[in-house]
Amino acid sequence: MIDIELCQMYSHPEHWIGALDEYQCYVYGQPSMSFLSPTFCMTRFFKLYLFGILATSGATVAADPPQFEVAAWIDHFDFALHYDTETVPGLSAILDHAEEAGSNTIWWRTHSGGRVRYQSQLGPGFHHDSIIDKRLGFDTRDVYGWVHYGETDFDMLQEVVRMCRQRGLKVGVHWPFEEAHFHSFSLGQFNLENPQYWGRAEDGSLRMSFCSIGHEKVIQFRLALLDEMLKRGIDVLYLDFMRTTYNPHFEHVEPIQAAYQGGLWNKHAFGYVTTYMRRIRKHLDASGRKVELVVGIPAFQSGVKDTSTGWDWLEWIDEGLVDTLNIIWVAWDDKDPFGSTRALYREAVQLVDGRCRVLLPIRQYNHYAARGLPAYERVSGKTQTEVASELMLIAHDVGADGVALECLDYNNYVPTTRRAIKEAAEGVCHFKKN
Amino acid sequence: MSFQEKLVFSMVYCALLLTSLIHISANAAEPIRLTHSTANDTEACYSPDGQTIVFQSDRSGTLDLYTIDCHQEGSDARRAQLLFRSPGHACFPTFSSDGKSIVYAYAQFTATARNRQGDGYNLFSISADRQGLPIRLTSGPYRDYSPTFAPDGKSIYFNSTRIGGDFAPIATYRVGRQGGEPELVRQIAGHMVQATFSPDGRFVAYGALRGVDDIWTVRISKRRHLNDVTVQRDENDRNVWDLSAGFNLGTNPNGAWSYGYVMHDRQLPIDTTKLVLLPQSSANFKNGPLDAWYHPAVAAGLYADLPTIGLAAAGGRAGHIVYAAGEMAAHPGGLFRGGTIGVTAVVRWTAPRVGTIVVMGNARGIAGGDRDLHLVHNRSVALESQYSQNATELPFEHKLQVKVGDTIDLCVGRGTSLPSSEARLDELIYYEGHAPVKEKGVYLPTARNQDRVVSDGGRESFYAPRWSPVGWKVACTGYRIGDNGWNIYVIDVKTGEKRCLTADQVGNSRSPTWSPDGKSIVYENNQSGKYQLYRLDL
Repeated sequence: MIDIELCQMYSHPEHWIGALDEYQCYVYGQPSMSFLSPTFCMTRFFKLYLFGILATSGATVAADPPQFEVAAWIDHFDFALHYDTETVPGLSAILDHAEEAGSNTIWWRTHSGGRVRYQSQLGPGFHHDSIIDKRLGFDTRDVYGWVHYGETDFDMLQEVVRMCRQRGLKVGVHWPFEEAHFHSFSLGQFNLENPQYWGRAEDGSLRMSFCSIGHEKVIQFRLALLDEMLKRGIDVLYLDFMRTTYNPHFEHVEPIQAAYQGGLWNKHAFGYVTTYMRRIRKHLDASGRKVELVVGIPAFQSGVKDTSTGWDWLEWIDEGLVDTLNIIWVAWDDKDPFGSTRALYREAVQLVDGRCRVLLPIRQYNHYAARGLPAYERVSGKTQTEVASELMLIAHDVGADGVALECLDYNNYVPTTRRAIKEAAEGVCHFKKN
Repeated sequence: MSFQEKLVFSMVYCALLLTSLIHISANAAEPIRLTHSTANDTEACYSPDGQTIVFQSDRSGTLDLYTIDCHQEGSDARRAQLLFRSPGHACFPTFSSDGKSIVYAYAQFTATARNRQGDGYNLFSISADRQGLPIRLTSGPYRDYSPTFAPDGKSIYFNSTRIGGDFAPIATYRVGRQGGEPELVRQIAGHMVQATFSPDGRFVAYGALRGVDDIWTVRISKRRHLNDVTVQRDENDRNVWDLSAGFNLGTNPNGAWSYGYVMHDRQLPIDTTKLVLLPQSSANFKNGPLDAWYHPAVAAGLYADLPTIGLAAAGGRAGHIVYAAGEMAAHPGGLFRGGTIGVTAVVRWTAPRVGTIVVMGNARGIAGGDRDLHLVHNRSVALESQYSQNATELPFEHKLQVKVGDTIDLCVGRGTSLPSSEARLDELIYYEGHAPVKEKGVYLPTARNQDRVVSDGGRESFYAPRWSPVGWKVACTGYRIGDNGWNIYVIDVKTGEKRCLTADQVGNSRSPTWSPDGKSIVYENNQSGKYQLYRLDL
């Protein structure tokens, strides 16, 4: 007998959340003892029983609508003052915190300050992040001066993936496009070791800022990093295009200049980002399993299909490269915060028009444009909990596939807010609105 | 082709061939591999007698210290001897000037975040003959690294993140060779790493990274800028006056120097005629590192912050400002902002005799503030005026005739809008013919406190400088557009010539160190897949 529901789950990643055991066993082909668990047996028994009833009654089997997603951005090092984040129990406590906010998806930050927070083999600088490199400069501090993730005796990403599996959470990595806040350290050790790939301004001056993706070696290195993350079993690759100082004016490197045939330089340079996105998609597809590609775009404005960043993200969606679009923040209007937010949320969903999934922000971070929860509170006079609840309902009502919490740090979403989001996620917003 | 043309062609061809051969000959020295491990052997340093090289290696998984004997031949004999191994990371070794000890940075992180690691990378010293236990020289949760001995061998310069803050700037500190409380000797806007001294001790080169859009460059500064040279203090028959070296809290005026203030309308030309001397002095002024002259209250209730002129005797932090040891600073004080009349702090020099003097120095703003800077001759002749914002600088050098009683005033006034008006001051005045010895060169600074930058419009990057022990050359790690990676460059600081030594060697070449006779350079290269030590005879 063919288990129809499991087949449906295979082709609908939105079902993974509620059926992690099956997903793990059947979709990825990763054997797990969890199929012996009472939960699994009961679930499976119930599904088979239900299937039998439906089959014998001649009814049509209808899939549930997709579950509404609550994705939490997690910068685990931001919990270092509160939990022992260099230990497994400390990481587990972070996931507890995220689950209190109803999170069913975790985007785990693996790169910061140009360093990889797992036991990467792609350079000694990654493996021992406590070793001094005299070429490092800005933001070279260890987290708070005394956290040394490079000294941990376990692989943090692998452990987080394992724990998320156990908890039934979808887990991915939050990978800023340039990998770090400070572009001096994008690609970390690779950047330091390969000045020949550094970006260049039009006048030929060097930018230690980043290694240009006009160089094939740079793309190959990025893909090798991606392989390391895939090997650790991630479900999601979340590429964040906000935490980047990418600048096409620093792409005057030989390969990109040689291919330039006139016209707008920026458009020409941004084309290399699209080419890179195609390589990423191809690489994910070649991995042999379904890995969701999420793209985070900031500054969504009405009628503006291209954001201030200049990324050709609509082209990426047109080409089917992207599984999920995460709108990091929308340019809502102070005069009508919730009305303008609703209009922008709806516009984003309509713009995508079902070509990929859409997540909308319940953003605590107020950086860059001051459009996060603190700004709503200030303008509307409502509490954080009230604002978050309203945004959750709006996002659900306009037909989004879920929301994203940026970033979920220790208690920055206060307990009542976490409870409110969780209750909505388990109640009125449990399924995506059709 | 005529015979003459053939002859000319042949001569030109021969000349080109000869030039080519000479060029090949000049670069013919082949690098000699010194270590043969499967690990990374890096950060080499010669002993003063040239017999031994100490380096760090990750052969055991962590960084340990090894030595090799420079005169034993053969790969087996050259096998590295373990000097120091421990569970932590021991790195950046350097020999003491007498060769008896090796100073290095060391860290062992045994505690997790919640247990609060007590120390970070700190400096330790170990006997070069492997006898005895390491001696701790510094402590604290910082990154103390890249130690090097002062030319006199009595103290150790090193880099550290001790200033702290979000971006943890790396500055240069000094500590006695027996350890103790480190002293900040120089901080720049950004990071400075690996100071190295000219053989005569008058210049210092260092690697600098001044901003997130910057690239590493090598900068060369007068060593005086490190605030550790004893300047003649004899008041009798003197020809040279140094603002910071001559400062004291005993009297005001203090010899030729006076410390005071004027009330000044910033919309009018500067006028210091009505100078008022600062009446009080205090060591550790306001519990900070400044020994300062100050005014307790210029006008009651109006000036919350006092006009001060002081010297950071030991270095350290006062509020948001970090002072280097020996640094002079002036703050105009007062709540005045954006109006017209406010306090201007004035350091005055009064000529004791007639003659031609040279006034040179620099007034440097402190990031995040604005101020009015003036250099004034005889109270109203402005030699320099600048509205300074953030970390701008006002380097100056003037030659002028003076009579007895002529004055030179260096003034720091309130700006218009931003929070801090404080400025760091450096001033040297001497009578013509008594100039401190100057060395001329493309990359040797002549003006005080104005470093020379080894740069080609941002098209090249250099770091990890090491000054040749016998001349005016600095070896460093470098990259110029067209290179395949990092190379070893030797820069002649007098002629400006930059010579790449490793262009023909595959892989990255880094971290050069000179043999004591200046005839060889040892460096690390990763052509084998791991960084190994090589020697190049020049």
